[in-house]
Amino acid sequence: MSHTVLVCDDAIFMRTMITDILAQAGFEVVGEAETGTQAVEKYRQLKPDLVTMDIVMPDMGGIDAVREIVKQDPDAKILMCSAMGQQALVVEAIQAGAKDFVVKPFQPSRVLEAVQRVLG
Amino acid sequence: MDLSQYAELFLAESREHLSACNQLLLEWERNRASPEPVSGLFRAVHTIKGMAATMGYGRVADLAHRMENLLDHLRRSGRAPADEIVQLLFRATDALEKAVGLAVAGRERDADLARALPGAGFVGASSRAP
Repeated sequence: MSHTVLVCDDAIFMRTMITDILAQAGFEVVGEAETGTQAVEKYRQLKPDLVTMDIVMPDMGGIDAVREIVKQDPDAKILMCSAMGQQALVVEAIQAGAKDFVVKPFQPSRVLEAVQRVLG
Repeated sequence: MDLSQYAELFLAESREHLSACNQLLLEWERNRASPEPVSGLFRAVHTIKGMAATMGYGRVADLAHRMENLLDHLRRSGRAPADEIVQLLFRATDALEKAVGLAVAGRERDADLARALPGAGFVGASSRAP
């Protein structure tokens, strides 16, 4: 059975690209979220094997969403998607419970390597 | 990965964010003390930067990054912006819109960005923008 993924990013463009990269590699994207609040709700509903999480989103940001999700499920596997220059925020996200990160602009091979690391 | 398949999506979503930027700037012009417009502007420009970098549109990403630095500086200062700053951001948004269109048309080099945000490197020199 393929691994299920929840893709969280406020840009449709980024969600589409991440979904394509993962789908082509055989993952099943079961849901998308465009705010941190939606990410937390959808995680609760869908219980995906993996979450990809943007940092800057309206409503609730990605780091707060990681905190909320890890509170629900300490074993949640969350991969942060950061922009260049966001090192401090990535460290904060890892401390909040995210497992790893990839930096935009994405290269499909980097995304898939990170996903494999997170899924262990 | 064939990025050209995402160009239309990039254009449509960038235009949406640029239109939001103009609305937010109008709102900020009317209510300088409000903290919401600058946060919304920051997010919109940050999103455009990430998408442009992903598409390989370096000059668009660079202008968006400079705008983001300026907005981050303004957001952190918490002060009402001077008239010149709001006008500068209107012009930069305009330049960004043109650059986005040119980039998608394969003519990114034609975008005149040097004068789009003069002094912003100095004003928002911090590189703390996410």
